[in-house]
Amino acid sequence: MMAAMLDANTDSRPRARRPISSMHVFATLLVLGIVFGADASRWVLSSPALRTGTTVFTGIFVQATPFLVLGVLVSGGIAAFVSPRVLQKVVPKNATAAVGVSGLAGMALPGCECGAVPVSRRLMDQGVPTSAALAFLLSAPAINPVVLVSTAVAFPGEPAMVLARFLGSLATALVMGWLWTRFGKAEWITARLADREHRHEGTPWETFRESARADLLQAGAFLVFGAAAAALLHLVVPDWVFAHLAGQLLLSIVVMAVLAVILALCSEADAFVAASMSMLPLLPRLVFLVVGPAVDVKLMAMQAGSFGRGFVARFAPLTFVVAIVCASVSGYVLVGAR
Amino acid sequence: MKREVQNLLLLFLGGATVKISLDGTFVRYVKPSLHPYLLAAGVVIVALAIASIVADIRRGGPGDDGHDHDSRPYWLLLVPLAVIVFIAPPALGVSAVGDRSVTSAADRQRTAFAPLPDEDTPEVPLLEVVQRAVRDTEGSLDGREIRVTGFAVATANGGSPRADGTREGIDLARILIICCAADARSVRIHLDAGRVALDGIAEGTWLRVSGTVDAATATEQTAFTPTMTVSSVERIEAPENTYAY
Repeated sequence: MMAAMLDANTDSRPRARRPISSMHVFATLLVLGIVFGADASRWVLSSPALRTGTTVFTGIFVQATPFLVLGVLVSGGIAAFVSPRVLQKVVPKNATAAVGVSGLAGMALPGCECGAVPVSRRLMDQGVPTSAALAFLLSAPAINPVVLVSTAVAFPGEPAMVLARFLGSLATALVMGWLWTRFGKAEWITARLADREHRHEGTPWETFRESARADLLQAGAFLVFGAAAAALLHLVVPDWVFAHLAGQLLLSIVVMAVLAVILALCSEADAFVAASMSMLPLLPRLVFLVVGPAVDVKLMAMQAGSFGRGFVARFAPLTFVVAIVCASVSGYVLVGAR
Repeated sequence: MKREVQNLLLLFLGGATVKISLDGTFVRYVKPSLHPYLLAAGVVIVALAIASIVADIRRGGPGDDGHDHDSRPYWLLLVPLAVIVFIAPPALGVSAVGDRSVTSAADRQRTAFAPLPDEDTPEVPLLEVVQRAVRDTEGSLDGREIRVTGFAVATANGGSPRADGTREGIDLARILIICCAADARSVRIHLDAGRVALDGIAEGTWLRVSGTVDAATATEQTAFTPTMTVSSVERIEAPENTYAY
């Protein structure tokens, strides 16, 4: 509808002397929103499905905002105050060791996956090896203390779940990092950082402001896309999926992995959701917890924005498989097939 | 998109975030404990936008050559702005309760709950009623009249069968969230009219119901949904924050 309005707007003044700029479009949309907002609202809210969908969408977006802001502030800070030389000193020369260090460094960024995307993209830009930045991308949302504590709270009496989640997620991050060291190609990462297209040399404060601003716009826009996809999928996942999986271990592992991708839950919350699916064995629920922070629709959208679509097309499916395997192995060893 | 528009978009988005955290409507979407972080995030976004605008003005212009050459989909940010400001979706309610219900009460071990408060009709949260019915070894609900708050929803609307196998009458429900509306689940108990008439109560009506809960009705056959025999029912205004946690 917006596109139609936009077209109509452009077509209606073919002979205008100055071209229609984005500011005109923005102002027009704003006026339309003020005039017709109430009607649009009534129309959307009159349908139960649309009502639930918009609430879920807003929930995901609002929930992600503080973590995204934290992420872009860290990313801006890295761009402005951490010179590539310092980073190269901290990160080991050996790529294998670098993956290990940055995988473990993921413990230090509290929050969920939305913040990790801009930070790891920035690390890459500052000269950290791609494989190490990717290990950080995968481990940060999964093994930080906040997530581990909430897992412990959600599964009282099952401390093995916390350990299995930690090891499964860390293993996923390290394996993916090492696979990238061996097989990854730099040209798969096609998306450039937005602020690098108009590089201004300035004071550190200017660099910080420009980097944070560009990251926020970019990651935010792709977050919208991911949140909308997740909200839509929420509406179409039938309820019986949750009820009829008990007893079939392998099938439920696969289904829970797929659910983790399409529900796109925050990694701080997913343990409670997994705990509530009590009709399922523990192992598939562990797979849910390891896959979710590593790959889901919201993350895929954000990664497509920050790294490029070609990257996501290769990285996401492989991460999905690696995460299932790592979670199954660590779960089988620590929790058992139950 | 022009740089000025990007800055305005950020300014409005940050403003919308500040607005919903200050007027309290953010509890429709996320848990209350996110409040300080959400407010801080909104303020940071606004500050970032203002700092960029001020810097551009000082530089004597946005430094763009006037072309919209950046093809990134920043326009998508209009969607949350429009949804938050103009549509303002309500908290999840009746239309969402059929979705995913809480059965977590069943998997934990049965344990001894503390006795209910020693008053005539103590108010007990709906989730706790279900947990006590399913897991309490002390039978703390037996013979006690309690008060429960929630909204009405037809049993036929996605509910589990009653002890007699039918799906007639109404249930009392609450929506539970953990982090945000995306992880919402519902919890409900069946209402047995007893002496009061429950007919004509529209779905979505908020009720404060007094009655006794028979823990023996929370079996596997009813998906661990207990039945409450109602002694009185009072219609109330929807609370500010409709979720339970």
